[in-house]
Amino acid sequence: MIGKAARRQGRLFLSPTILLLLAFTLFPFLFTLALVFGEARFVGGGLQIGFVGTRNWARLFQDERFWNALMVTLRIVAVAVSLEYLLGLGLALLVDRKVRGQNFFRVLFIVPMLLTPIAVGYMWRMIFDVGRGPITGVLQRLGVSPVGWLTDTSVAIYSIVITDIWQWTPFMFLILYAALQAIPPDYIEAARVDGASGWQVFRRVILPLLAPASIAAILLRMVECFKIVDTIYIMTGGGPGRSTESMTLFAYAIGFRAFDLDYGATIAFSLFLTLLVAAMVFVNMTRRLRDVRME
Amino acid sequence: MQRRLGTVAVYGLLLLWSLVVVAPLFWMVTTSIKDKNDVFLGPKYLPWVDFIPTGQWWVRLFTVEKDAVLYPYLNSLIVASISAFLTTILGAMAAYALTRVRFKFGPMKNEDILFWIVSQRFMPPIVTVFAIFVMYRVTRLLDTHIGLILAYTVFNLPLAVWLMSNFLAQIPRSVEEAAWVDGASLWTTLFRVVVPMVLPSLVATFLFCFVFAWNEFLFALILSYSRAQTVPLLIASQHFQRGPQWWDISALSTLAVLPPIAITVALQKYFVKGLIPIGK
Amino acid sequence: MRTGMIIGVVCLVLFGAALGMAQARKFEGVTITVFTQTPPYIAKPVMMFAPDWERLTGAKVRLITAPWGELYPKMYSSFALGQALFDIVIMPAAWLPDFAEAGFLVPLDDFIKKDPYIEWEDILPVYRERIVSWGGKIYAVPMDGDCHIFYYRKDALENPEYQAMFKAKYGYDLPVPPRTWKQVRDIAEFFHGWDWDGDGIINYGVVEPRRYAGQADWCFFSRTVGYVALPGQPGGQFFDPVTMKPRINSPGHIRALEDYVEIMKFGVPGMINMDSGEVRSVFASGVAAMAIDWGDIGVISEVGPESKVKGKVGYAILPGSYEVWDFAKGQWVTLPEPNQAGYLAFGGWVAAIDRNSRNIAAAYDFISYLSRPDNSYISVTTAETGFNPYRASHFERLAGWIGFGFSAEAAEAYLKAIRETIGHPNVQPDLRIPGAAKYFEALDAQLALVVAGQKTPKEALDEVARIWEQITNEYGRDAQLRAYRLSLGLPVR
Repeated sequence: MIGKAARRQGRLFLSPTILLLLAFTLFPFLFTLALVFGEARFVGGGLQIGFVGTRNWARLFQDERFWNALMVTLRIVAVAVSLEYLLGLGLALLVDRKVRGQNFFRVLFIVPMLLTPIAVGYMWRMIFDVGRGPITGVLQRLGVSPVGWLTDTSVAIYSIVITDIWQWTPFMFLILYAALQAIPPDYIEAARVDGASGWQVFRRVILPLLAPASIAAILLRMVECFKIVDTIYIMTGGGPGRSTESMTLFAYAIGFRAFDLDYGATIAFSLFLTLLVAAMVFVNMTRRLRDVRME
Repeated sequence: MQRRLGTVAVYGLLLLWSLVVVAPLFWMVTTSIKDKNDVFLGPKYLPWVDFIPTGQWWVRLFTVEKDAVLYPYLNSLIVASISAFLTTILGAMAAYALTRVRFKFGPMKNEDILFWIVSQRFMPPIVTVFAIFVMYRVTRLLDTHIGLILAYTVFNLPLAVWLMSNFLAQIPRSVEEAAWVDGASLWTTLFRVVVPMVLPSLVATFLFCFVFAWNEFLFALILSYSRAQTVPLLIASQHFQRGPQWWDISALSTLAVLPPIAITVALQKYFVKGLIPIGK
Repeated sequence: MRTGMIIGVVCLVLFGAALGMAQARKFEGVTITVFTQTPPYIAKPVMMFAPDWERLTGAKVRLITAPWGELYPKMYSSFALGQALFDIVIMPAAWLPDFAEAGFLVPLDDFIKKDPYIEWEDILPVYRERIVSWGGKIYAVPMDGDCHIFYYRKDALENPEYQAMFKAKYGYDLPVPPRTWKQVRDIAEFFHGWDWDGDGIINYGVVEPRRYAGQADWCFFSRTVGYVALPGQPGGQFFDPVTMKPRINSPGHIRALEDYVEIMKFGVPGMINMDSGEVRSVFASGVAAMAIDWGDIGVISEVGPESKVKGKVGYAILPGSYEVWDFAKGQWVTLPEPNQAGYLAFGGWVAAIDRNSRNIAAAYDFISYLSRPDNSYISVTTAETGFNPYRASHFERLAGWIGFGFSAEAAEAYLKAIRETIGHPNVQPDLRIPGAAKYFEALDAQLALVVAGQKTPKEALDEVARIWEQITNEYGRDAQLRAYRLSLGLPVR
């Protein structure tokens, strides 16, 4: 079905990507590997890494701060990504209908994603401010006592989640919308002709056709959300207490604030491993869904 | 009757989400026209009602601070657009090969290659960035546009490949197969046949890569010093001994979101269904 | 005759020009790179004085900057990789031990000895002797003088009506300025939650940073000095100067931490999420009665265009305590007068030179130019430089401060509070040993848990002590002990 020349060309198509990735990730990977099993020291104006076996890992597994950061990260990912997917799907379906001002809504809904996370962090920090923020002002006028959005240990993590949802629902929306646009209309019409209801069309035709794009969107969002740091760094700095300290923020504090390079790398590498496992589980779970489309 | 109710519900939901999107942005934009004490002794909501707007921060951005603002902007534009373009092309090519040709490198098959590519984005930048700093030091790429462009291209490639391969997996092959039978090369089928079909997806991918590069913070922070400084760094540097300069941060953030919005508006016609020839 | 004069004049002009040229050629064609924090603060004096110095020497100055949080990693990585990316770094004094110990910096003793302009003796002893030296050598030149002082609103604390109300409530005269942390607590409670300055906006007791990584740890140590620095008992508030065992979980430290948490009840809303920078702007907006800070609040309050508290601020040395923890006896002792000691928090910004620099002489010349009395006087009396006074001459001349926007009265009170702190016989230095950043990070992380109510002060400080022991062992106890004694000016074996 596919010519020999095309097969050779396939390699050519793939090679730039593979080579670029190798050039940029091989050395960092080995460097990190040396750090996580080693001890970094600055001696005589240079960096030396000595082998210490699993010392960093022993320290990591005994560190309550690590387990806290892991739990915080998992909670943010679980809540934020699932809500983002549902909201994004809902919005994509709404805009995909023949509504007036479709173009307007399409652009407007993407805007939060276009703002740099640093700016998003500052913006929501202002909005959630318990003294001078707009929400507090409204609540006070209504006679409700103010909520410590960023100052209450049990609330702050949800403020981070809200911020993440605000910013990244557009990502889900855009991917699902693009995928919806690519569904041939006659598929849907054919189902309609067979007498399927709106819900059945959605359940039997649209959702399966969206599966590859959904999987891609969820996986990518998951990967990014696991690494969440910019907004938290600006909004709470990980506080109050450690209630919003994510893995990357923890790694940053150890690696770059205390300049404990080896332990910082160990924390970050453990995040990499967590992510690898989570992604493999996810990909395997969804493989069958995707293969249906690949045939 | 039911239908009308449905329509009302649709518009109601759309407007509700529009409000969710706009309200925080409204706060940001109005903060950029507030006096310092209107910020500190707030909350002040509506200009001319709650507070008297001031243009002083904006005026300063375009006069005293002109150069300090302009260069990071140009840097961001150059770096983000070139890297997004490269990423999209390379990513689409790799994804096309992966979804159409059967590869075998040792034990690695297509699925494994794809997963390996995607997994390159799992590595938290916080670790890789120090190693890349060392590499750039040796190759003299620190504080250069090329350095940032390369870093962002590599950083976004897994995203582009993964997205494109999932979009391409969705496309029925019947059209291409006809071309292959006629002896067409991958190059021809990709750019003549497939690209027009997946234009919305390509545009979405480009937009993501642009936005991620435009907004990226950590790489820019470590790999640039002064000449290649980007907009997010400029915003973050408005926080110093007097705390966050909310008005400057707000004005700069507003300014920073304009180019991506402009690009989205410019590209948005490619999202329109009519361009997709499937099912014709 | 006339010709002679003309020739004479021409000769003079030529001679002068030649002299000028000779001087201009001193560093002709040299470019030096200065690395420091993103402008305006700290970088501004470099920008102010670079053009003059360039004209004088023919050299060029290239300024490279980074935001505060990224300074340390960027400096460390560029030092560690050699090649001298920067010639001069302007950095917090607290980092000097790390860099000097690792051999990154040029010793400057010989330069300073031969320098006719720097007037080294004019720099206050605590800065020129302790802050910039390491292992007996000088590695940097001070650019800034730093210590924490206490700020209060005169229109609140000195109001006779409020004083009477206060006495009725607490049974003693409202002390102005307060001399103990106990008094600060009562005053904060009294002035919390009502509009005592009549501008229609609710006022609060205090504003202080409590945010993790927001410089709150220095406010903690400003409280501990009064409780643990017993006069005549040298040794510092961080470690035992004989065994290097942490002192951080002593009863004195625990009591200070209890105060540190208690006072939050009378703080501006959202204080737990504020860093030291935000605190300054909030105090200048007029909502709080008291604050602790470096010299910056004074400057922002008196000359900031948006300040609502100009002329209303009182300045004082940090409060203390009657009861002081005696480490030698292991018990509390009560003194007849409150124990108030200064704390050299942070230690100020200093300029140092990368050992790998190819332009050491030019780099030193520029540093010296920035520091000489007249120029540094302009720096410390200009808005947004972030530099506070550190030379005797900075305190003696009021004209610059008045030109800056201070009233004569405010300038005197402000300078007196700083001088009193720096010159205090029991002034406590900051922690200046290798790994200081690690020790502080461990403490800061635990403080964050305490202010969030997730740990008690004792639990948290016990944990800090445990981690500090680990860090000390990691760096080597003997080396750390030696470094600690050096930093306190104690004899070492």
